Amino acid sequence: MKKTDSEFRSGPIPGVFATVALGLFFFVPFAIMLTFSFYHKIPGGLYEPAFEVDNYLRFISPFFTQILLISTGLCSLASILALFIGFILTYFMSRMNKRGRTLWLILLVSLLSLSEVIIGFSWSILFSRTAGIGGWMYTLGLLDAPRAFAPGFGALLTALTFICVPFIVLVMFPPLTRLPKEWVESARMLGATPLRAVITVVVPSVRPALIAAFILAFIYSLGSYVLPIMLGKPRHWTISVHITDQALYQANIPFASALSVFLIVTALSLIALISKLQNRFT
Amino acid sequence: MPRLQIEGVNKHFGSFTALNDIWLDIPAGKLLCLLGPSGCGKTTILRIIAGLESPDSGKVLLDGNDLAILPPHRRDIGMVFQSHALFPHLSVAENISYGLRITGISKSERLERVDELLETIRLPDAGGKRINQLSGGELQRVSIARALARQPRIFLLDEPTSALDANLRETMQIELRRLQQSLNITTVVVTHDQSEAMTLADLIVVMQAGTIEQIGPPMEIYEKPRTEFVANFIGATNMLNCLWDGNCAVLGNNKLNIKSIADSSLTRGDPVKVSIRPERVELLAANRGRKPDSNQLTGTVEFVRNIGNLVEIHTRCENTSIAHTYSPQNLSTELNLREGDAVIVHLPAEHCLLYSK
Repeated sequence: MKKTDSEFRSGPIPGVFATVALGLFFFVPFAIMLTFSFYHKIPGGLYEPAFEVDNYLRFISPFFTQILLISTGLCSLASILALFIGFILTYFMSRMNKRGRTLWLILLVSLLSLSEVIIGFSWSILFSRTAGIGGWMYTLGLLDAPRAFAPGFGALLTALTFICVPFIVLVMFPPLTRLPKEWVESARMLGATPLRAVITVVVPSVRPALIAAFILAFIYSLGSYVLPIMLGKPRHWTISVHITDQALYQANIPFASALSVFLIVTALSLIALISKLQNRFT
Repeated sequence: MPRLQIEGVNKHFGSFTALNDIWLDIPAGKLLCLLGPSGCGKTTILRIIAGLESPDSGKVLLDGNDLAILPPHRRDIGMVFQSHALFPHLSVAENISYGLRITGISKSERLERVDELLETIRLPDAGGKRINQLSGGELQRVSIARALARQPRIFLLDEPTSALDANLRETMQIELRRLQQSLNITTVVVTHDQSEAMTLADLIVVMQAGTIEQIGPPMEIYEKPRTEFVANFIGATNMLNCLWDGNCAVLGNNKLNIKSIADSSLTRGDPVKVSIRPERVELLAANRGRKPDSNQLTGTVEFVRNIGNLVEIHTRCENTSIAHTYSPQNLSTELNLREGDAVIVHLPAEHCLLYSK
């Protein structure tokens, strides 16, 4: 007898496929990386099998502690800014008519389709001395001489915030559009100004989504590679850039592996936290 | 208590006319019901009073002062939304005290006021509950308490009992009326339920398609509906298609005298409608060789039902079905009628109302 669609869905095939795919594309590479992270580096770009925790101990050196602090600090700051901008943008989108909402969603989704290289290049032009903001500010008499803002912390922060905003909007859009408009209206009837109504009613009501959006933006910016290279100075490099630097330029595969393991564990812990929070609130 | 006036308010949404030249005067301490089918503009009036919508033209006056310059949060108006709009992230007590906190009232005073209100709505132990733990009736009471916490000058309710089941709805209507009378607060209620309007209101405003059809005390609206729409909308009525013959209405071969005729523009042959409430119709036995008198029609009983507190009999006369109702307690005075019985239907002239088409 022919199997129905639902029998296929409830059968073993989807589970087996998911397990194989996850094993092949995630657990195997992760296991290899984890193994390599305990290997011993031999000067000259080679390594030998070993079990040493030296690569992990390097995390607590002042140099790498600083890298981790800058990396997490920069990404947290960009995520908070993106959350702030994204929340306000989505709140106004949720109050638009259907046409306005759709147009904004298309615009934001098309931003996601741009590669990080194009975004980084656009911002580097905008922050350049001759063609960008520095030049305009000089023309307007705000600066004594034209100057470039990139590379620099501000330029990198701006671009990271920019690439995170669409993710925030995509996470915040469903809960904010579902939020009954009477909630804000009833807060207003109870004496709250529009801003106060948003802070005391809207924000607490969508708190789980706000946390999820922040964590998503944080993980995404932590993995950013092109923007820190194009718009930041070496001291602003994120952990992804350092992984590449260690693997390709310093030829230190074991240490690059250890850094990658750290990045993955951090990201996975945050994702676990999201689902835990969402389960608690729904 | 302040007096609320609405003067010449118009409102359009795109090409749709939501309100067309609305004039209302709500005396201090009274309860006014805006009654009408959905889409007739009643909620729009409420939202304009609240400041959640602004009129295209016209004014809303509170004690003679124009409210236009005040945003909703400064109007000092309490409003209960159809969906209750209670905040699920706050407890019952926090919901009730939300407005008091915004106003900056001290914590001790807030607690005292919340306890007082929980007593008033007869939920003294519900303060610590979450909103999703409340039943429909409790949600309703909490949203009323929250709207009244700041002792507003005007109290607005949008379809306050529409989410409740029939029994609870009646209980809530009585509670609401008692509360409003004890607080003596000027109140506007929006409803599409005519029995709710009859229970609650000092004044009923019947609306249709953005205009006011009739304003008056409940019994006046019931007894003397000014238009066919009002007669049909408030309570059940028999609406008979007749012709005007110069001084009375004609149904088939029968003449129907009408006591008061408001419309003087009628000419002979005009189609008219005669309305009479089922409880005003009288049935007489037809088996004693009795000839129909004026305003009496011969007919045949086609349907009888007894729903406990009411017996309803439908009689077919002149190809028209006429409903008659009576209370079964008066059974002795009524005929024991069955389907198929011949009967004389009396439509007393003083209870017949005439509407030109």
